[in-house]
Amino acid sequence: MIQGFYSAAMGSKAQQRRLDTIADNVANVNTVGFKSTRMDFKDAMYSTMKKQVEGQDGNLELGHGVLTANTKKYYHTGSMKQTGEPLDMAIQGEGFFTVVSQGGELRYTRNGAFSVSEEAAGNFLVTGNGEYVMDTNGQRIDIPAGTKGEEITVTADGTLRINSNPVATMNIVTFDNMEGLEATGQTSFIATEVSGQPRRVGTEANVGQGILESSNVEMAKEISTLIRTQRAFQLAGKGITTADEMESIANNMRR
Amino acid sequence: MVRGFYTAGTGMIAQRKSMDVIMNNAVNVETPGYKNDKVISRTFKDRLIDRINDPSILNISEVGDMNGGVHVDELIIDFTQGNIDVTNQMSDVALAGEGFFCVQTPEGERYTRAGNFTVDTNGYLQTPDGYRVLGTDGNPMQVGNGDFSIDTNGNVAANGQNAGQLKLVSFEDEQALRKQGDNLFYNYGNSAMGESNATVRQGCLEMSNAAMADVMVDMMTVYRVYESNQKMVQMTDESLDLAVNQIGKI
Repeated sequence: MIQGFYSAAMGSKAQQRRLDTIADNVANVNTVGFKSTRMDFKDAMYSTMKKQVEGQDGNLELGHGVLTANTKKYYHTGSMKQTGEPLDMAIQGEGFFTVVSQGGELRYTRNGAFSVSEEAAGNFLVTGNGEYVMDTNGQRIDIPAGTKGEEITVTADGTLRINSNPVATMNIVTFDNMEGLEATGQTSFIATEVSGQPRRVGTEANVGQGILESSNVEMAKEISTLIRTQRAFQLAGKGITTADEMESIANNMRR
Repeated sequence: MVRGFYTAGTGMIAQRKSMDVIMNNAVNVETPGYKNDKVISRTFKDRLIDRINDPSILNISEVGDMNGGVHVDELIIDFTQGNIDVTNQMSDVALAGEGFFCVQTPEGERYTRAGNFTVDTNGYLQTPDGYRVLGTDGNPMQVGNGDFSIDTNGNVAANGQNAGQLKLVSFEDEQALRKQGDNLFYNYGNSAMGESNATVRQGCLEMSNAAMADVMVDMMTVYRVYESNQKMVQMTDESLDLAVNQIGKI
């Protein structure tokens, strides 16, 4: 079979994968704290096409298609949306809120749309996914029952105060290599070997109250990438059809 | 057998191999730093044809040269600048002009135009496959874990301090380079290397120089030449059919 068949098939597959990342980005254009992903390609291995003719040494390396190289997450800060809700918080600088899931897994997020849970053990500051927000001592943050929203204030370093009495300081952290973080769910990340250990961020976090960080998906860029992906996919499809017709010509040489 | 068969056959084989190359270009239209391959075909060596069995000529005389068909001679890599896409990603770098980034691989130094780099845990700039980008001092370029900026000459400033300069090379004979995969080139022909004058642009990425329109035109051309060659084979076949089955009929 023509090598072209396989190369074209790889092309289709690669573009389909990129389409998946674009679809994910577009679906999350309104998700608070969402970070968009980008997929890059690389060419596959090369091999010599045929034997050289009579002692020549020209380049006869034929490529074998395209592969996905990596997916990169963009960590640009999204635009800040004013909501006025006392429990909506956003990190306007660099950093992530430390949260712990119901199952005890330590996670990091930029999604600051918090609320207060009502449990037998107390009323804790939680995220929209039910994860508990952690403070610098590794404990959950207890908001006494009956506290009104206006009584809660948050300063730039993440310290929560109720009626000007400090209750806890949220653990805002950053990483050596943010691109090494692994995404779990839409807006949470977990640390990996590649990302390095979290280290505390102080006032540079610039936590704001009453604001939420929008998704950093840029629709214009996503649409233009979508169009390019679609055209590349069509081209690969045309390649498969043409390779097919060439084989058909060869097969029909002898009627 | 009739020489026409073989000549047309070589034509079909050469076009089929051309199609493989074009297909590779086609699927890499979105690969950063990809450079088009162009096929150069050559005829086989000419052979001298003698005229025999012609009563008007006393001696055997030369008719002229004829060759036995075509073969794919070599691939030329087209190093034209690809389009530069602005991504605003700090670790993306593009080169405008002639030149290559140098990366360190276990097999030795390799070269690339694909600037979609990442930063690893130890602060080294590397390709998506983990090959570290080299600085002019010959060591992997360390940009640290914070923000870094790269100016148009490739000087890297990390956290306000000078962290070195990216090593950029250009080749006297660019056709001495061969592709390896993973967006890398290697210096097969041991061409002389010098410094590159390319402008470095941070936050941009050079895309493939394979243009869809060119690829489509090449595909159509190759397909039609393939088809013509097939027709030649069929016509030769029919001529032979006449010779074998009709002429000798009693």
